[in-house]
Amino acid sequence: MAIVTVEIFRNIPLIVQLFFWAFVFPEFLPDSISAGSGDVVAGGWWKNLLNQQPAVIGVFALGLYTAARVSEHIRAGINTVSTGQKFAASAVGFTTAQSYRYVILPVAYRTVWPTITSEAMNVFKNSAVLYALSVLNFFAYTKTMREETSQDIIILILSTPVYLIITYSIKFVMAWIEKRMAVPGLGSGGK
Amino acid sequence: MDFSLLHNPDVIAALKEGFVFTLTVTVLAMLGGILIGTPLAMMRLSSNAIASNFAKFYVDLFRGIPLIQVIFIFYFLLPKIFEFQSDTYWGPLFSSVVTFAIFEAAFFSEIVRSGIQSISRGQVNAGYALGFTYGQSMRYVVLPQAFRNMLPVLLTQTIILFQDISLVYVISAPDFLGRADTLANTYGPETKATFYLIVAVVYFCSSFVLSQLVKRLQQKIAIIR
Repeated sequence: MAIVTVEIFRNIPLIVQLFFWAFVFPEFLPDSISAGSGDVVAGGWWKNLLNQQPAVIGVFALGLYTAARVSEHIRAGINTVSTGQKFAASAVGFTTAQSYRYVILPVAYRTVWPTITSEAMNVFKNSAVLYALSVLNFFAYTKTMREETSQDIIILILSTPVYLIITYSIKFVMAWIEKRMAVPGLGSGGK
Repeated sequence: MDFSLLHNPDVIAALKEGFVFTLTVTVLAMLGGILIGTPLAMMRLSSNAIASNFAKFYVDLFRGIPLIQVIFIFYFLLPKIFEFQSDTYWGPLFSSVVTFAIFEAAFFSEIVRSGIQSISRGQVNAGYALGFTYGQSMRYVVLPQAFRNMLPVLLTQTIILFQDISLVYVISAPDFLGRADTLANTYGPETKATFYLIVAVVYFCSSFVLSQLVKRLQQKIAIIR
């Protein structure tokens, strides 16, 4: 089940997933009243939400998309934790949940932190795509500016550094966290 | 949801044309990306500070900007450099290929760099010992092995590229998603769900099959090594 979910979310482009959640998914929901026409249509409340608060649907779709990718990274991280540690945890009498909570996950998160960092940068960059659902984000506003002024190149060049600054601030903060969390002797830092 | 539209040959033809557009851009952009990315990787690894810093700057620049921003920049910038009609079939095709080749070059160069670094230093030195120049040892010793090692990663990146091409929808290029969107507008808003579902299913099937093939290739290569 988890494999199927992850494969579905990883093999469909983000923008197609956004359209899926916005336009295809409500067709499968039970009937309810649509605020726009007052008629009873399939998934009416979802469509109302799309019209009034597209950001909610956008964040929902982007969240699921990112979650699938992050879960793959974490899985890789859990696989790198040596079986000895897992056995040790159960030998001490931990339940599965406890051994994940206290032994495996703390190590796994630290191992995959660099990929989580790039995933955090990706989720910020991908959020620009949400404008396709008419979410009024930074990208949507610069697009409106371009359309109203026709100063395409200037606005594009001026808005690019904004993205660069935010992306690299995320990277910087994540690197700081990585440094603060580092356990002496664990991973490549201790070799 | 109404799938009877699929019996209409016009719909099928339009979707097929869109899919061919997406595939064309994928292949051309992959070739372009490797052609630009390989020299970038070599520059990044060179001892020349200017070349190495330029390559680092290039990679960091494109990794820090959202792809749709890049698509828009090139879509408005390219017509000012080259003369072409941006509303025909070839205009968006040219624009997308150039955009993706330049954008993906940043990612391919990182892959090529790790591929080159995976070749042991001794191989390069052996090349020099035989009297090869830098270019010759790269061409005959390092790159053939590096490309073989990184083939699975390159292909995985190409699948990502194939998926990212759906973003050219924002410049209303006639790609797969763009075609489906045009069709949805032609046949009325109630067909939107059908068309987007078809797009999602086709994208899933093709990328899933491709990624499984890459996985198999990876296992094959791993056994030989």
